[in-house]
Amino acid sequence: MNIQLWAIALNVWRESVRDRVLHVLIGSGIFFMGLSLIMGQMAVGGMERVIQSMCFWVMGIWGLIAVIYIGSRIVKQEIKQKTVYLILSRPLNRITFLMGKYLGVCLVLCSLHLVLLLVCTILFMSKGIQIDGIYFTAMFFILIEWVLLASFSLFFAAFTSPILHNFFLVGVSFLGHWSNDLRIFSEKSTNDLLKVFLKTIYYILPNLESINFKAAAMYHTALPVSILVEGFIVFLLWLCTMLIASNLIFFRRKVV
Amino acid sequence: MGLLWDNVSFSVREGFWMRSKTILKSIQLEVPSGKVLGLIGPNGAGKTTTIKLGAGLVEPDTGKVVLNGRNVILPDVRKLLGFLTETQYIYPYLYLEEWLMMLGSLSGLTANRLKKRVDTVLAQVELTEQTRQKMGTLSKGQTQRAGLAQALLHEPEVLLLDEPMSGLDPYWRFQMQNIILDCKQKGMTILFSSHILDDVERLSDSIVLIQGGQVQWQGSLKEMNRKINYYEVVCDTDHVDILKPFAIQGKVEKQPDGSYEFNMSCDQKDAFLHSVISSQIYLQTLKPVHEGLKDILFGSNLQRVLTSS
Repeated sequence: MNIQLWAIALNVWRESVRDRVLHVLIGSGIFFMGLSLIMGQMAVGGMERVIQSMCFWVMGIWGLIAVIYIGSRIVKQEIKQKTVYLILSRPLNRITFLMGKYLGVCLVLCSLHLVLLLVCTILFMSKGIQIDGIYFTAMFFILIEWVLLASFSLFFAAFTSPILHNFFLVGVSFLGHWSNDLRIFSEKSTNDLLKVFLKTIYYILPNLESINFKAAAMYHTALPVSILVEGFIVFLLWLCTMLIASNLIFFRRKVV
Repeated sequence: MGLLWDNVSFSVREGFWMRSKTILKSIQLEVPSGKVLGLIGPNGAGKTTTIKLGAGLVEPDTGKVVLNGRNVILPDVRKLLGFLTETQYIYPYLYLEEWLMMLGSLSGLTANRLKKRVDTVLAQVELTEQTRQKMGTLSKGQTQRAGLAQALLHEPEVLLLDEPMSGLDPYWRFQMQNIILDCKQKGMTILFSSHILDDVERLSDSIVLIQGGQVQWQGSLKEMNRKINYYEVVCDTDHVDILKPFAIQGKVEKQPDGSYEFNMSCDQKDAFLHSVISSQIYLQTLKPVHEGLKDILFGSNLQRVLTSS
């Protein structure tokens, strides 16, 4: 791997894993997962489902929070705190800089995912909840979603303020999960303008439901390989689009 | 060859309407290879922007900055550059060693050589004990020294130093001067800006005065038409009283070796030399003291110097 790319990624990872906010995020994630044990006891006969729902919910939302927190700072903070000066004055191009940053964020997300996955798995095993291949597939695709959101984060961070970045990212995440509903609404709508509007949103946003297999994991439903491949292709296409777009914007930007 | 700003202009957009504000106007500037150029000028004159353009951090609107004939915007040209910012922008959670390792890797240093260079530069700026200290816990002076360490890490040919003495105590100001002089002796090309004109005068082969985004004057200190303020005289005599009329305010000081030292105004020079010949005065030195950069830049003499040069 390119040494420069790795050096920047490692720097992002080191800085992030020593950041107390991320420690709090991990701690609170574990706390909420643990809370599912108490809440599960309150539910009559549905402990398994409560624990599963809570753990998958934490896995989904905590990733988004981590991407928002790290992503909003990743480029803006470098520019604002001017740490970018010493990096860009070195013999590296901006693509390497941006991709190093992205790789670093992905490393942080992988670390966070690993910790939460471990806690989740221990919790499931301690309560005798079945862990199978679909469980790990769903978990893998949760990580894939985080990585995809990180690429959107990079794209927004390349040209917007941190507040707008957060707003857009939350929008992409929620609308991405409602993508199928948007299509159904547009088909059923009688208003032509609304139909076009909803359809446009459906096409310009990623369909995050195509990589969401949490329900299948909870109900232990077998997943056809074609669906997984389709989901992975959707992920790859969006990832490439976002990374190329981010680089095109950042390449032209006056950062100093 | 060296570092050349060839007709460089630069502007930024600011405010709600993103109006263009010109920072530099057609700058023509050269730092010859192996020379030290001091950049001076008031706040907001464009010194830092000039240095950033030299470091390839920003691209000029017009013209180009070239190092040994190649545009500094090209990444591989920047291998030859070392850059020190006025304020050190650091990652607070990184250890000093990690920070230098990262910057060294970005400059293309690998494995053993990188480790060796990190140890060398840390020793050079006396920060070896702080190697495993987080950057956020370093003092301002230590951070500034760390900044110098990263600039020297990859043994660049050209050093761009923006206010290198900023935040340093007197001892480290002196040490920093020595390091810059040492780099000069090694044949490095150095451009540095400073508000401390004594440093500029001591370190530079030539200076550039920037005002309002334009180069007002560039040349060596020798080329500058500087007035002689007074003479410093050291001489021996048995009759100290004959010296007093020549000394400014009649102040003559006896030196430990028995000689006398005093300052003499310019209009007394001829009369004094006449006395040296006719009286029993043994002249050791007669040294002209020119007006300082400070007097020129902040006094009323600037226009005279600029027009006559």
